[in-house]
Formats: sequence, structure tokens, C-alpha cells
Amino acid sequence: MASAGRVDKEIALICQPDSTSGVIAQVADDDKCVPSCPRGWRHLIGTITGPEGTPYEGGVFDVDIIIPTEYPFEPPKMKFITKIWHPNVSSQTGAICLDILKDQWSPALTIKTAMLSLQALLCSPEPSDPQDAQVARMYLDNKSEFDRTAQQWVQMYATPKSEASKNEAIERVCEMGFDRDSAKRALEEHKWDESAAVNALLGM
Amino acid sequence: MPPTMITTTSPNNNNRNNTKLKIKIKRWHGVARWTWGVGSSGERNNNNNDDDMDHGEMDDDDGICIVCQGPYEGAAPGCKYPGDECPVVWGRCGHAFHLQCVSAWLRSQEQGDASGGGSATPSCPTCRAEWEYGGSNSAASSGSGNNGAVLTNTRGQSAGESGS
Repeated sequence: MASAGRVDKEIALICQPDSTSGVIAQVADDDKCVPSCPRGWRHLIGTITGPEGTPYEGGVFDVDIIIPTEYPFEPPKMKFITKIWHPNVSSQTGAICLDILKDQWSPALTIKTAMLSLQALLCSPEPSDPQDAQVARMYLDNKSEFDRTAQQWVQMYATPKSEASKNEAIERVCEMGFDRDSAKRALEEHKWDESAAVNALLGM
Repeated sequence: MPPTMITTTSPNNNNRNNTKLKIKIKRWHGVARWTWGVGSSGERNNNNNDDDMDHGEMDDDDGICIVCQGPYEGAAPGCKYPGDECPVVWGRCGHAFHLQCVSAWLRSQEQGDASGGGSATPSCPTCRAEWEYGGSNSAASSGSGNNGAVLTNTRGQSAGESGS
């Protein structure tokens, strides 16, 4: 039995701007009609600010949040949209390894507390229970290289783009022979990841 | 025939003339309020019953069931009316939920077990302790003895008495 009242209440709460917690969400454009999900599921896009004092500082990470019909008796399904270099997050798919999103879920938790747990996971990775073995190995074997890579990934994928740098990216893609409109659309769809946008334009 | 009440004002100042105030009550509304005796609202309303305090103190919420996030005195999802149809139950750990809410959670944990996932034992949503129904408010106050919180309290009191 899903409690629609609770979901609506939670969505209203998590969508409120809150400068202290560093987590916020907004209802996805396709809410209630997620093509790949059953009817009645809700779809949010969460945003987590990289915690200070970690390699993720300064980064802004988008998280895909799907609230299943059985919520709160089943955990929300979360994965990173923004690419992130972290032992407990797949560097390819964004899948998250976090116990409370799996067997340790409890209906006493909320979307907000789950997002705060994700933020805490950025502060304290658990390389002993990795989602991405390659990242975890680097974390354990060469911490300074790990920190450097994580920071680079923040620079490449998680740093909010200024209008000027967006225009430069559009110019660069246009120089490869694409028209401005489709270049812009592809870049927006791929979070300003130029190679991903070009691949999409090439139909790869 | 509406009742009539006559009151006399008693001013502190004796120099003033006593004035008799005649009040005629023409109509009144009786208002009753009930609670399950859980959480902060329960604590306020059950000060005359010490046994209830244990439940009240254990819940640091604002009188809401943490599962449905609705008030204990309201109707849980799937319930049409609040009250007897939608009672509040306690676990042995002292945490309280709507009966419908906690049983839906326990059911979903069982289903998780059957399909090979989920945790092994049914657990309290709040503290993850193994869930066992710990008796209702009335069971606790009648001293049925199956509520850990009440037993602890009793021991604490007797220790205090022997010390003095």
C-alpha cells in the first residue's frame, strides 16, 4: 500500500531550497510517466553538493531518484547521473552501493535522509564493499592518485558551466561540422560532456 | 431550560462597591479530545497515568507515525476513519506505529525474504530491533508485564525507595 500523502509531503519538503543541507531535488519533467517504469512511480532529479574537505568539494552531482509504488516499504531507487569517481559508485553507470538503499532500508528513512546518506558516502567511501572495483583498488593502493582523479572528474563532469564556457563548448562541437542548434541540444542532453555529445550526434 | 450561573466578582480593592454579575448561559458546546497517548501529545494528556509516560518519552517525534508521516490520531493510508479502525501499536522496543503501517512493513519484509532479498528478521522501522508486539497502552498500565520499558521503570522506582 503506497501512501501518496507521504510521498507528496516529502516531495514538497525536498524541493524547498535549503542552503544548509546541500541536498535538494526537483520533480523530473517526465514525472508520473517515466517511460521505463510502471505507472504510479514518481521521478525526481536530486542535486547533491560535494562536501567540503573532500575531493568532491565544489562539485554539483545530479542523482536520478525513482520512488516506486511500494514506497516507503521499498527503498527509493537512486543512481548518479553526473559521472563521479568514487569506490561505491559505478564510474560507468552511476549505480550506487549503499546498504540503506538496499537491504538496510527502513520506512523511517526519507528521500531527504537517503540523499544526506549519499552525501555522507562522499565524505567516507567504503572501499571494502565496492561498486566499482577499479576505483576501489586505486583508493586503497594509491590514495593521492585517487584524490587527483576524483578532482579531475569533478572538474570535467560536476562543475557548473558558465555561459562563456558553454558557448566555447558549442563552438568546438560546431567546428566538427554540426549545426549550432543540434550541437547545443546534444550538449545539454549530455550535461556538457563534449565527447558524449559528439558521440550522440554521430549516432554512436 | 438552560442552566443559569450566577457569579460574584470579588475585587481586591475593598473600597470599590461589590458588583454582582449575572451570567446566563444560553448555549454551550462540549468539546472532547482523544489521543492514543503516544509522543509529545500523549505525554501532555496522560500525566495522571505514570505507565503511559514510558511510551511518551521514547518517541522523539511530534506525534506522528514515522511510517506514514501522519498523526497517530489520524487515519493511516488504507484506513477510512481514525480511531478503533486504525489503532496504534507498540513494539517491545517501545516504538509506536499505526497497526496498518507497521504490519505493511513487516509483510513487505517477509516478501523480501521469500524472494531471497531483504533482511532476515522482521525489524522495527525506527531502531531495527527485532519486531515483537509489545502490548498496547492498556496492557502496559494493567501491568501485564510484557513491556520492557515499564519493567525497567518499576525497577528504577524500587531502587530509589530502598535507598531512602
